[in-house]
Amino acid sequence: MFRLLARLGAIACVAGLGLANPSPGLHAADALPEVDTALLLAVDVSNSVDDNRYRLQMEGIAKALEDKGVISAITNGPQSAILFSIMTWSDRTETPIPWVRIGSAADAQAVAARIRKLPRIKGQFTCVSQMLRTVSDKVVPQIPAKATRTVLDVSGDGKEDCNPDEPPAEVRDELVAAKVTINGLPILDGSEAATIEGWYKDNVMGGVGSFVVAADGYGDFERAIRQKFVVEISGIPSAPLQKVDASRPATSGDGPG
Amino acid sequence: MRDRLVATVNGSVNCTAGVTALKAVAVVVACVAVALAPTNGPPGLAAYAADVSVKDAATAFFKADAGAPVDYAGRDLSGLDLAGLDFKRARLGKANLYGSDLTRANLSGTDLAGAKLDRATIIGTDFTGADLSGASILRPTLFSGVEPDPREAPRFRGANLAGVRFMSMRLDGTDFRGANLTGADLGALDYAWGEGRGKAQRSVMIGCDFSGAMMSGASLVNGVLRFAKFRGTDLTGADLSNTDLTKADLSGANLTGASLANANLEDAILSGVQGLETVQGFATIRNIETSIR
Repeated sequence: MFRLLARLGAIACVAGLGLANPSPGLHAADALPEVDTALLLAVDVSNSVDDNRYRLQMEGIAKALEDKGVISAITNGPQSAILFSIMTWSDRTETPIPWVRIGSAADAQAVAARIRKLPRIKGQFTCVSQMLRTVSDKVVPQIPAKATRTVLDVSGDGKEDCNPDEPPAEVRDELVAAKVTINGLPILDGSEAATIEGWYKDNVMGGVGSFVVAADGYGDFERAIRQKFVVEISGIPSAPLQKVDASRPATSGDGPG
Repeated sequence: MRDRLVATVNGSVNCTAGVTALKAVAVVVACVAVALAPTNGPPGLAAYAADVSVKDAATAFFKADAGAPVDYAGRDLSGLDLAGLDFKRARLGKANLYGSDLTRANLSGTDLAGAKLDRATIIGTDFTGADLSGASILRPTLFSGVEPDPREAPRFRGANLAGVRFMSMRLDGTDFRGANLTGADLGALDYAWGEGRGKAQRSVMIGCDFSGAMMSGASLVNGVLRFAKFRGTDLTGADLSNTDLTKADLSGANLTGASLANANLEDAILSGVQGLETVQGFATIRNIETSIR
């Protein structure tokens, strides 16, 4: 009970800060020019993600960055640039692509080339809560530029299995209170294929304009991530995405942006 | 509830003992107070008492610059997940980092003099040029797998480790080049009590590089130092007794007054070694006839 009250208090404090500062944690971030979106990809590398699946995800992300529609979304925003980063997560998080500014097709292609060269990072468990905690505590406070939107894009093929002290939805709500939008890309593959999309909606998705786009297996990842990028970067939901989920309660802060 | 009361106060207040009425009231009050007290963390785990949150630390380090480092001297950062953070030469003298996760954190140039890093996770941590004089690093975690991967070893190049107590099962491949290890204790783990009592434990430092380091008076007792490099290292008065120095490179090292009692120097490189004739226990050195001079 005591911990719950303390946590609620912390969430309330974070929410208060969020109201005063629409870009939480960015007040000290003056190292880079302002961007439209700070987009953090959190890619599942748990035990179920073998070498082939890892490559499919990374290749899908690289191709999405090279997509004309995505580049157009980047360069046509008010600031004509985004911040982009990739975090891998399982029982440990790593950041193989730290924050990088993308303001042109050449920038996007350079980042795509880096992604294709990344060595495989392996993990064991699916620690969603811990990943969200790392984003909340260490990533969001260190975004190196002011951003109109901060978007966390979580992909994976499994539910939380790390028996965390904090339920994922609790940490998700803390991020939402800090004005972070969390979108989900559940990959419908394996034993949890039938239920993973709903679990992502209930435990991962949250924030203004949040949505879930499921990939129908790893082979469909490239299509799904490209579709997500356009919406996340432009901030304008497309027709197919709006119908994915418009049913979440307003208390989680989501809805058409 | 009754079970909780008895279990919670076990060892501090005896709730089941026969007592007078007044004493009973006092004991019940004490029991309830203890039972209702907030707990830190899940039962059965060590209770950390950090006085800084991860988010506050990350924000502070992010804001800091070389001219104004974060000052956490004497603060309690125990048990925190600080992995991957750039500490930006923070002041952490006498800080408590017990059990903290410093995986791939950048602690280069930090002041950690007298700090407590026991049971910290230091996989790939960069301590280059840090001041760890008098610090304690007992039983840290250096590798993510069962088998040590030298690519994950922490880096102590040029660090001040004078008087440090650094005791670990495995330190393979750790970079101590140019470090000040004067009077440091890198010897065997001391099992004075508890599990493993009486067992001889050896610190394994295969392939560690101590080249150019100052190790006067340091203790490496019982250490497994196969393939370790001590090129030009000052080992005057160091205790290398019972060490395994097979194929170690001691070229140009100063061994004046060092103890090599019962050390194994099989195929070790001893070219240009100074003070070999002064070492203690010379007659007990094993396989010195195979060494390269």
